[in-house]
Amino acid sequence: MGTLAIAFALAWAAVALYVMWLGYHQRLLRQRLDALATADQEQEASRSHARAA
Amino acid sequence: MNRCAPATFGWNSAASAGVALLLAACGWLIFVFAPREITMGDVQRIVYLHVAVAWCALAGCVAMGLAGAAYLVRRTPGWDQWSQSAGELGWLCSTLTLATGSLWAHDAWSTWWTWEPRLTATLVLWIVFAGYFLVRGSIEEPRRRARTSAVLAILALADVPLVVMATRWFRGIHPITPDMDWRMRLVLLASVAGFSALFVLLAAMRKRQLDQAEQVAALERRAGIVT
Repeated sequence: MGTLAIAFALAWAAVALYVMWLGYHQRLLRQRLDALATADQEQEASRSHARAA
Repeated sequence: MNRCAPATFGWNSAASAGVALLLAACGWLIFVFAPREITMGDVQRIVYLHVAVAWCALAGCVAMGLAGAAYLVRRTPGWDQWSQSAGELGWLCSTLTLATGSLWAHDAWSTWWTWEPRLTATLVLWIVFAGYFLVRGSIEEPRRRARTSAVLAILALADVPLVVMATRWFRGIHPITPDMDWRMRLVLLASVAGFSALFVLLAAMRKRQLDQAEQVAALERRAGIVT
């Protein structure tokens, strides 16, 4: 029974690790999108500042 | 630009729930419904997991090769992304195939490993997956990386018939297709179906993620952001 438990625990741990790894990459992707949005806002702000000047 | 973000994992909640239900049913079938094997006892239930992940490893290799061939024909990044996601999961499944097989072998053959044809061919499959990702990781230029990976993925297909036919072509100790009680056969089929569904779900999630990463990289290049 111990061997059986180890085999199934191993399989589910591997799947869980893969899903966590996907989540980690998703978080990185979201950070890159946030950085893009910030850069976009800064560009827009400097453009409107230049227009106002 | 934010159109990539909110839908990230939202589209597949129904599919995820369906796969979770299917796997829960598989768990019940494996531990409750399947009869206890006389000679090996409960350890034999590893077979339901081992065969399912081995099937997914082979399916992953075939999908990786076919998607690679499709990339070479169509030259669209989507096929390269499918090839990569199928390869990642195929590698994970081939690792689990070796691990669960080793656990089963320890009880059945009193050894963790033997250079038996089926086992050796499966180890070669694992090494082929590892090589594919080593090569992928070493090439910076996306189009060259996709092209080289596609060629490697097609070459990797050569190991699939070796793994499948190893028990028939060469003399070894790995079981071929043992006679099974109908309940055991049913549980085996359900387990293969359950793990295949999980494989497809995870591959689709990863493919979508790779696609989004490519879109973000394109936006970053346009905005002049270097990552």
